[in-house]
Amino acid sequence: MNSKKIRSAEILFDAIGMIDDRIIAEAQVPCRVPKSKNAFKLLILFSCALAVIALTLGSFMIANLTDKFFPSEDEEHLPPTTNYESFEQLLNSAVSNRAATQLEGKEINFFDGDTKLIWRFENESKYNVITVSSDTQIKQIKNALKSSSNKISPENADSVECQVWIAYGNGTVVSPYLEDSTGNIGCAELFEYSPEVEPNEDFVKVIEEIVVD
Amino acid sequence: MEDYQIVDLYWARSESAIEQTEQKYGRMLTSISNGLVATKQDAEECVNDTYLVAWNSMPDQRPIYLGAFLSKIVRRISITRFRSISAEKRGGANSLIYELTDCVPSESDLQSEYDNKMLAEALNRFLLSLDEEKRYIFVRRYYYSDSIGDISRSIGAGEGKIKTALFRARKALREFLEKEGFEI
Repeated sequence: MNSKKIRSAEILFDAIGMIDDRIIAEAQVPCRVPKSKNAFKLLILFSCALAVIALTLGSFMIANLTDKFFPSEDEEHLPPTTNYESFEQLLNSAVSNRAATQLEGKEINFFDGDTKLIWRFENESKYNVITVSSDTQIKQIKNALKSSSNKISPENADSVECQVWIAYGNGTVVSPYLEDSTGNIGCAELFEYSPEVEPNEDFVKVIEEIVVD
Repeated sequence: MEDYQIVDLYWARSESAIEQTEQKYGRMLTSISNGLVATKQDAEECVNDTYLVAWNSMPDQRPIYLGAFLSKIVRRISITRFRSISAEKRGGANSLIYELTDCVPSESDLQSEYDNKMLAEALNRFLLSLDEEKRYIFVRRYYYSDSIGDISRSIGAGEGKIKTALFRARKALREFLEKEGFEI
């Protein structure tokens, strides 16, 4: 090692002995490294993150479980996918399992405030009626009827073997086989129509839920 | 006892001044001296010389930071003792001076260009530019002549961290001295 460098280092060493008294006094007290504070902070952050994840997952699971075991009529969840090959098959099953009431046309009250699903197959004299009592299901029906549906071509219109109506209990009557328009709204009558659209999947699901219940 | 109370004892020429000084600062002064001189006996003698110098300095002087005042005395005495001993018998100051060669920016001779007071002022500025932890580590090592182990225990950090901090501080001091005008 260069002797000049060592000599300079010695001078530096001496000069360190002349630094400010306050700096010397400050160093008399140990300066603890707050690593545990950082670690503690990290632990807190990690715990919070875990708590948020757990709460989110838990809420999601509870919501799904609640849905499954305690179905709320206020919930707007849709019923499971239809198990029927066709909407008409679904309606047939409602007749066979006596979910529907069979009424004469004049026996149907359009102004009693109850929403009704009404249908009649070809060559039948009586109408099959199911009253929809759930507000949620009524809302779902209304929303479903406003949604888009697959069109039925005129040449296939005759293949539809039943006519279906929804009566809202205030005189308004519509059909899931007709497009949503003011021209397709009837008043207190089960009007004849030529089907324009297929009942959309959402509508079918709600009806299936009603029929199965 | 507070520093100003002990200083009052010196001013009152009370013999208990030395007793109080030893009680409060004896261990610190011995530790500083131990880090600079070869033997415990030398360190003991340096500390005793320090009490004598303090007694002769007060009155006249009335230091605010009595610990800093005394540590400067013992450090100076210990370094003088260290230099008076032959090279083979020199103590821990050798290693400290060797480390500080990292801080010397050039081949130039510091003594010829700057006096110690200007250098000390530059060191003050440098140390105040460091954060509290780095400043503590540097001062404990090169002023109080603490070992790496002592520093690491006192602040609860690993020795590796202390060595790294000292290495970086020496490098920073070199750059600082170069910027202050020490020739490269």
